[in-house]
Amino acid sequence: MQHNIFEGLDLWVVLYAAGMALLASLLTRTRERQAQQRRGLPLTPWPTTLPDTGTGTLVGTMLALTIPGFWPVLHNFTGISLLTAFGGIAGPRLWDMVSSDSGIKSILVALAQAATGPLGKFISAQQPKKDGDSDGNQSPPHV
Amino acid sequence: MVIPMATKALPTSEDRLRRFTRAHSPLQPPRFNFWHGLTTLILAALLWGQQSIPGVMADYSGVVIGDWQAGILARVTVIALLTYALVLVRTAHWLAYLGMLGAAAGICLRLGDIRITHEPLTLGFALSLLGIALIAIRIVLRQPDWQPGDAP
Repeated sequence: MQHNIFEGLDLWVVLYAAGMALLASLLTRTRERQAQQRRGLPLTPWPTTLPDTGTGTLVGTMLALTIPGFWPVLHNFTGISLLTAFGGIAGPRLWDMVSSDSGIKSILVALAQAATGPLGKFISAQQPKKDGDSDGNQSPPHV
Repeated sequence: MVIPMATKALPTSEDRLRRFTRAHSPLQPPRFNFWHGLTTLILAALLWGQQSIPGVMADYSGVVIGDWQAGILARVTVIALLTYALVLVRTAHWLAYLGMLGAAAGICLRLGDIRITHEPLTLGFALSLLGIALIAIRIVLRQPDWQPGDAP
């Protein structure tokens, strides 16, 4: 049966993600500004919380939409609100992690492994090695 | 040449001794001000209430603030704040770590109960949750005493 992931999306998920993201980014910014004030550095302006809030809202909503489909334990009110809250709070950091080079590479590798599953490992184990064995010796071709 | 007259009396040896003791005793609590007195009164009233009028206290404790979904959202919010302070900020004393872990464990135990019973959010639990959330927020906002980049 085809399942529409947008079926479970209510407005409260988006609002809750936005609220948690706003709270977390305000707290982070306050902490940053205190540290900057202590060292006499220029202060980060308050409007820089807005992009972080947007990122957190997006990540929280996307986590709440996607993860319960793969992990049915979380497919209830508590699970969805947990995912939304964690996504809203950790959203900017997750975004930074993903947008770094090694982050996107590791996510692509994980996605490829998830897509092929154990079958992919079996296939790659069964495929003949084209470049010979570990010593570089190639077996003579069968005629 | 005019010698200015001393406006205050010279400190006696007793004053000097008191100052010396104050300056060299390790525990210097702040002065007991009006707000500390108010706190004492509020605490005394609450303790008297739970001892003398438990029924009234139970009624106020059970005042419903939100439905069970609001209760779950409040608890999840506090757990997320605790996780933020414990895992992402990581600058807490180990006693605060243990305290916040204990709070998270207690909230999770209650959360399992509420998922089954669908119990609404009541005033008593809301106040406890507010207190735990404020501790987590304080841990997030607090600057450590020394940071890399400061003068040693």
